[in-house]
Amino acid sequence: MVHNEVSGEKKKVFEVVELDKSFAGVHAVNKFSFDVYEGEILGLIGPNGCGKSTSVNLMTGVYKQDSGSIIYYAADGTKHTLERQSPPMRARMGIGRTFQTPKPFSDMTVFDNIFAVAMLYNKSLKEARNVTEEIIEFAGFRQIAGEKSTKLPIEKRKWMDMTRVLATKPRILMLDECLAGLTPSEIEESLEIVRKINRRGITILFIEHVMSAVANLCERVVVMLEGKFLTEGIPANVMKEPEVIKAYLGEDYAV
Amino acid sequence: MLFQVIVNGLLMGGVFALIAVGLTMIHGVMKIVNFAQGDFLAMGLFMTYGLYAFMPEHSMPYWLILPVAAGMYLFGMIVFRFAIKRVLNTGDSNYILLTIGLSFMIQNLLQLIYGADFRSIPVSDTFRMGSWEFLGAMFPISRIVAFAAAAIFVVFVNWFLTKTDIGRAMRATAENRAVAESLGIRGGRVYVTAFAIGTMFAGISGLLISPVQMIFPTAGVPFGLVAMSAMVLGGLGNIKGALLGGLIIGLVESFTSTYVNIALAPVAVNLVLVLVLIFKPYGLLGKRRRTA
Amino acid sequence: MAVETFRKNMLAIVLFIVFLAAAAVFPFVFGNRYLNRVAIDILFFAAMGNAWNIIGGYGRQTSWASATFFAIGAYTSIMLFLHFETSPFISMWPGMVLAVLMAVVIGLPCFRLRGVYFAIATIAMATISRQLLVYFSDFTGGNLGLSFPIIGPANPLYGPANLLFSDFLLRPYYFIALGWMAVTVVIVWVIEHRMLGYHLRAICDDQDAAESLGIKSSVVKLKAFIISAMMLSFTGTLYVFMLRIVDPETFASHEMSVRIAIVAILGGMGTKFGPLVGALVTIPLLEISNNYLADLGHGGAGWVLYGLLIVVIVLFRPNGIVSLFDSAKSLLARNAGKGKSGGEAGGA
Repeated sequence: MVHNEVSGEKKKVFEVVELDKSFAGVHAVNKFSFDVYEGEILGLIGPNGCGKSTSVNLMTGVYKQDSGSIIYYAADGTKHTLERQSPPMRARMGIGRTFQTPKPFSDMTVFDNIFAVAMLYNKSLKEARNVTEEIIEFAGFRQIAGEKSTKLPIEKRKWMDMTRVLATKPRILMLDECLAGLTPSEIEESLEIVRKINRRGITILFIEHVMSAVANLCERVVVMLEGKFLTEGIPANVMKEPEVIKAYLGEDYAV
Repeated sequence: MLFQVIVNGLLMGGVFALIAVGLTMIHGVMKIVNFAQGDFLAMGLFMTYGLYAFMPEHSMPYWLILPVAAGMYLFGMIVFRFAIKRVLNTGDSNYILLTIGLSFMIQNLLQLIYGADFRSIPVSDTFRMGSWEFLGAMFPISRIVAFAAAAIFVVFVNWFLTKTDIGRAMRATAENRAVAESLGIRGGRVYVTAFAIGTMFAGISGLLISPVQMIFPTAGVPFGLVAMSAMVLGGLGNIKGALLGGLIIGLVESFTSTYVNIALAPVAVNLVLVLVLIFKPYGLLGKRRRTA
Repeated sequence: MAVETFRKNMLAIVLFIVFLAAAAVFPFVFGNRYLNRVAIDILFFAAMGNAWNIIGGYGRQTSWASATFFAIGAYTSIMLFLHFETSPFISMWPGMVLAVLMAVVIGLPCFRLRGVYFAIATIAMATISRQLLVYFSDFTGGNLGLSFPIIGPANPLYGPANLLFSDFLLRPYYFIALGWMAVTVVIVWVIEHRMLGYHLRAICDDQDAAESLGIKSSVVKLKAFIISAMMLSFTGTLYVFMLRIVDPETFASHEMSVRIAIVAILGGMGTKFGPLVGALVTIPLLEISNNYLADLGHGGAGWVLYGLLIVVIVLFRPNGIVSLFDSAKSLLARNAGKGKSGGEAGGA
């Protein structure tokens, strides 16, 4: 059934309603609600440990929520209520993600890392190869395509993670704190890659706790605090809100 | 009759619990399943057999507990230092191959040294046959002693893990080695102690059943399987679970022997394991571990 | 990339072809039944090692039930032959179907869990199967097993249709074994280069990443296990028509499972030619120690060595003998062709 949720001009990709999850007494995600619109680069920010990664893990099926609903609108318009679907099933629906630490298939070359995934999403090996070549060009990996992925420096491993997932033909890509450990110029390049991915029509959910990167990249941000929704809006405005400043820097800095 | 079956099951289950607890200590602390645990029991059997020759006729083998326990503890330390330690944290299949290789070696070394003949410890007939009657059921003395000793050791383990420093250090290391080390707990010593204790328990189990158990190189194999079944049944890493699991397996074996067919008792035990894996892999008391 | 793989494997392929050529001539060189028999064992065990490798080496899920699948193929075929004179070409199918069923029963629950559960479950399943084989002695002949006498040319059952030959030097069976071994290498090769192989490697490298990309790890492992089981069962069918006897101790024992596994472990888990190398080393080793060390203690020194070999391999050379070749190759390569890509991408 085709089902469009229209808000203004844009369609939704995710609709998260009152998402709730606790671990052994820690209330990691507390009735958290937010929406992700098609084509946007949405920042999900908040201080360390506020529940951002847990939310991503809930949306991608790594954990099952205690309560609340996660609604996903696939590329063909169908509406899916996500609860019991496993991570591979969700990936095949077009929900892509990366992890905080790079996770290359260590024993394989860069090419094979992407090829292994492309095989699953293309009917013939030849098509898979073509798709892989295209992604390699897109990512600028021509020189290192034959390198064993373990030999790569950290920033290339992160970029490989980001581009490898393109082989799954994702509708949305959730990047979980992908800037850790990068130099400023590497951060710049990473943001550029994210923009490039977005320009292909892929919605981005950008989880980060470093504000400056977010301000540069995201059109809109959602702020979390202690598992709960705090505020949302464009970065420039949100960062001026006293609640947000207090959350990040403590009472002293609130104006 | 039913009462007798239950008694038989529980008495044997006590010993199963002991070897299972040993296995669980090893797994709880270092996350490996020791596939040679049953063969460590066989070593305890053969140690008892070998040392018994030096004892006065018809004496009780239990006096040998000190040398057997010490010998097995030492053996455990050596195995850990030269083999186990090197495969810790290198992925699942390495330690599985190692301990299965060890198991295979031990079985065949025992075979090489002693041959495949069934041996037994020549205890006095009064001891072997003697039993107390209580509420219409026979309680064989040898099995009561085994059960009592096993119970004492299990209580000891509980005390050890909760009240002693090194025991608590073990539990901390089992939860999270990195954190434990940052608190000053030396992970290395905790590991080797846990493995040595686990080995020792298997050896002691062998000693405890020596009066009534046929002694031959592969005698430990069914016990190894029982220990794994009990551990999985109770939930990996859970001492109380291993205890419960051991008793349950003892009952399963007793009931199958009596009401179905004694030859099928081992099948029933293995079947329990398979069923638990299918329906309750985290065990009756185990907790589902967080992914990612 | 296909070109690249070819070049990397060129040496191995050439060596393999040379080996096949030499092997084709072997049974005619010595004209010795005993040697041919040992050679047949080497080939069959290499084939079974390849089967084990698919799940145990490439999938890193060690199985200790290989003997069970082998026995299923053997028992099914010999029972159908004894009762209905069924040809092995027909009876191999029910054997494989049964093997697949068992693989699914064990694999479905276990592959959702950590690898050690699978190891435990295969041991349990193997134990149950062996005990059941003994228990239902009316069907299976119990401990003594089943057998049929030599069937000579006069008998209508004689001939290739039933894989029954009377050559004293066992040459037809030798070539069957050689052919099957080569086929198993091809099967492994194909798997390596297609989706199943890539996904097995991905799962072993990083299961969480693989799943986040849509790879269903339990399904992949199950496929590998099923293929392995079918290959083992088929080998059992072939073997029993040569041996004409089946019994639980020879076909379904833990020793047998260990023998099959060690061929791949020693030779090289996750490699195409590892099991062949492993078989070439371990089978003669066992024969020699059985013959020359038989007087040592109560016998069985060869088995002790097997166990020791596994331990030593795991501790010092987990990638098996084949990795020695790799190390030698890269040593040569480094000395021969300096620095095409030396230090380009920087350290990790």
